[in-house]
Amino acid sequence: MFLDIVYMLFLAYFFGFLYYGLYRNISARVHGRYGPSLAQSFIDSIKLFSKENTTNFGWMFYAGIVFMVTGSVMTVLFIPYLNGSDQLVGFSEYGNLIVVLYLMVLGPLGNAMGIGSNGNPFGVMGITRGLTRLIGLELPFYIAVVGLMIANETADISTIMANQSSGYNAFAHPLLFIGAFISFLGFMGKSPFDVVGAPQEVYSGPATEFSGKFFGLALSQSAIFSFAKLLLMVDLFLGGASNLLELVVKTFILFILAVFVGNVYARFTTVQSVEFLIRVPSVIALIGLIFV
Amino acid sequence: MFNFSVTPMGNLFFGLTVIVFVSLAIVRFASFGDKASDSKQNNPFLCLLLFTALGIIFYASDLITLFIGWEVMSWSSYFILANRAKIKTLQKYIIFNLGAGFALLGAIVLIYSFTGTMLYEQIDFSKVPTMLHLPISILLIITIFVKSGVMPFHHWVVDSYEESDNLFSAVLSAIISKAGIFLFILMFGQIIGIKQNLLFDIVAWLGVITSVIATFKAISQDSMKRLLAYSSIAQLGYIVTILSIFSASGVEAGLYHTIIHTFVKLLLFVNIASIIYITGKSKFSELGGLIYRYPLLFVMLLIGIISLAGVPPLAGFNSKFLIYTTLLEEKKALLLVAIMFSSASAFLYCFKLIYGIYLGQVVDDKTEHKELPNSYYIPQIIGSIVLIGLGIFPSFGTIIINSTLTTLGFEPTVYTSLTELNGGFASFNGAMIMSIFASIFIAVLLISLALKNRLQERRDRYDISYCGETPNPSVNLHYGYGIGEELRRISFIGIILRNSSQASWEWLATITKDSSTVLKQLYSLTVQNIGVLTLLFFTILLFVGVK
Repeated sequence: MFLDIVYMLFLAYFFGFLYYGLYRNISARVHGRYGPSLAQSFIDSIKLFSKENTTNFGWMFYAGIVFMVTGSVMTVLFIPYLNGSDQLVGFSEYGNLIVVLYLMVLGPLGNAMGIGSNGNPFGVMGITRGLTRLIGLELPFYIAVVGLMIANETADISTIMANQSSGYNAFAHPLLFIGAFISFLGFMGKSPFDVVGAPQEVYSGPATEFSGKFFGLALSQSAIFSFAKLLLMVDLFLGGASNLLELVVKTFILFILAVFVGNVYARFTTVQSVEFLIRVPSVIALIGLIFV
Repeated sequence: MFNFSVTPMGNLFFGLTVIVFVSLAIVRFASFGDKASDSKQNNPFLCLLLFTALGIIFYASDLITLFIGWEVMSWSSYFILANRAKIKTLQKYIIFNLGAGFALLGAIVLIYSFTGTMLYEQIDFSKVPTMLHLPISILLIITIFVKSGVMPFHHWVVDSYEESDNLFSAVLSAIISKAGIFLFILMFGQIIGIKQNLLFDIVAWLGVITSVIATFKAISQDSMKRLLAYSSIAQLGYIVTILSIFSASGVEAGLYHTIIHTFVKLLLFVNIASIIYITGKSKFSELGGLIYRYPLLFVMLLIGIISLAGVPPLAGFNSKFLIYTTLLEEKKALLLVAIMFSSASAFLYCFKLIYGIYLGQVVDDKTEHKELPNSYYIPQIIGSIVLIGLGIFPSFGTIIINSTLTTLGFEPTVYTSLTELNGGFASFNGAMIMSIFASIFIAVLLISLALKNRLQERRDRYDISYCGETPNPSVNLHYGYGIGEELRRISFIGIILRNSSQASWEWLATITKDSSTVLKQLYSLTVQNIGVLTLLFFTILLFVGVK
């Protein structure tokens, strides 16, 4: 059990950072640059853990980040990795899809507490944007997930995964999949829904006050968390995977789609992204729900 | 004359009442002698009268006793409110609650005139003609909606909660709003017997619409108590929705959410009462940065909002889980999506609540803080213990609810162990989730402590990254009031925030006023009116004669 969990976390950490490195590389090629090497994100993460001189913002800042990591780790441990296997299952037998949906917000809420306590208004602006965007993001995703739960008459992720032996949910319920996929782009923090982190240009966002080991922890949890989201999408819509290779291929396909979309579209403002998410993917998913 | 009986449902609701009243009474008695807060104290006799009225409602076994209890409840809370509230708020309160009282009386009279009895047990509702079923149900639903503050009957709620005494707001939100829920289950579960029909579909949708609109209104508030008032409206909306499904699991989910909401609101309102007591301020834009002065209050509020948001591992998740599984079982996908949407939006006001008060920067550090009496912690500790305890043993709530389900004629829910909550459609293990959470949290904490741990001490509160500049003291660094401002620009939420159904009530008031002016002219006996009436009389006679 313990080894299983460690292995799951290692896989999530490894593929999370590998994909992050690939994302940096691919985006660089699109911009006409070379980009960093694939190992760079691993080096960054380990290097950050050994840095000191991070400012002390009090116990809540510390606890908030620990909370955030706990949320991400719990989420990944409640999602089964493989279809019909008794390995790499973690704690998935104690939870179900509804529990996972709520565990996914545990980390961000802890994060919000931590960032709120450092007294930097820019950080809180990022959090507010994030929570506002969440209003839009959750709607199409919830519609799709509710549709799947009703169609499969279960909230158990492994049963939904196993029920797809005759055809993936992505093809059986294409409209639900499109709705969920657009939400998923936002959950992954990819353009056009990346206003929360707003990398490079805007001096605001949740990570404003992070440095040293706190930034290292934040980066690692985001790698683990993005793998958890990929995993959930593969389990729910792409029939899961019977072995590790299949899992890597399927998560990679989803990931590369997200990267391509992210590189093509410009960023929405918060208001635009909520309006878009409610007008387009939610309506698509709602039409899909009628067919369930 | 008065008939009472002890029922499991009465015990459940009265048990909640006792916990809320006793814990608040301790707070009140402990601060006796404090001149500043004594001047506008609630009258203890009126509070006792209110308590008795609630007992009468929950243990009555005939309709007229229930009605008397209902009226005493409304009036005693009116007089408690009258101590502090503005005249306009009081008018709103009394008009809505009198209306509700009349509606209840109307329904009782109709039921009595056809069944010939007031006793719950002897009422045979099939004797009431079918064409009257709908009007009776509508009258009862109006009563329930007014007390629980379901839209469009919520106008009295927000102002009354805001202007009443800080501790009395807790009573209003935690207990008085639940009297409506009690009436719902009593009338439609026990006496009338619910039939799935269009009316209850509409009720379910009104509940959901209430919760969505109230959630957005809550986010945009600057006053802490108004935010919590709207949040109460939203949560009661969930309960009304899930109860109108009226299956065994629907009632279970509704009652479970009632229990959770009572404790969450007791905790949150007392927490806010403490902050108002300490600082004398009640707006987010005036507060902030209190976490390091009052860490215990912060932790209590954190427990409250995690439960309010319904995030595991605390108990708020249990009732949300039951609501979702019930709606999944009934295949009410749209209702479910709307409820999930509203509860996802609720994260924003939960964050505003905790950030605006405790986190961020101190807005005003010149005001002297009063020392908080320890008694203020008691209701909060009770709430926290219940919320954590039910998080670990979710089925304990089911055990309490099961006896009520049996008396209503439903199959009690099967539970395998105290730690496993069975929602029919799915189940989860509360103790397992709590222990996984705790162990991962501790593991991560230990790992991060083991990493290089030398932290540079912060020099002052302006020691933050600020676009390469140093902010000066005149810059407002607290963003508390700003949360939710962006929502106004999102078109469909902006529409909700800008509009109110108050205009339609005002229209109704104008119509009533105008028509009563006309009526008044008719019965005031001037020569002119006698002429008009005579003319009218003969005109009618003429028409009848022609026929």
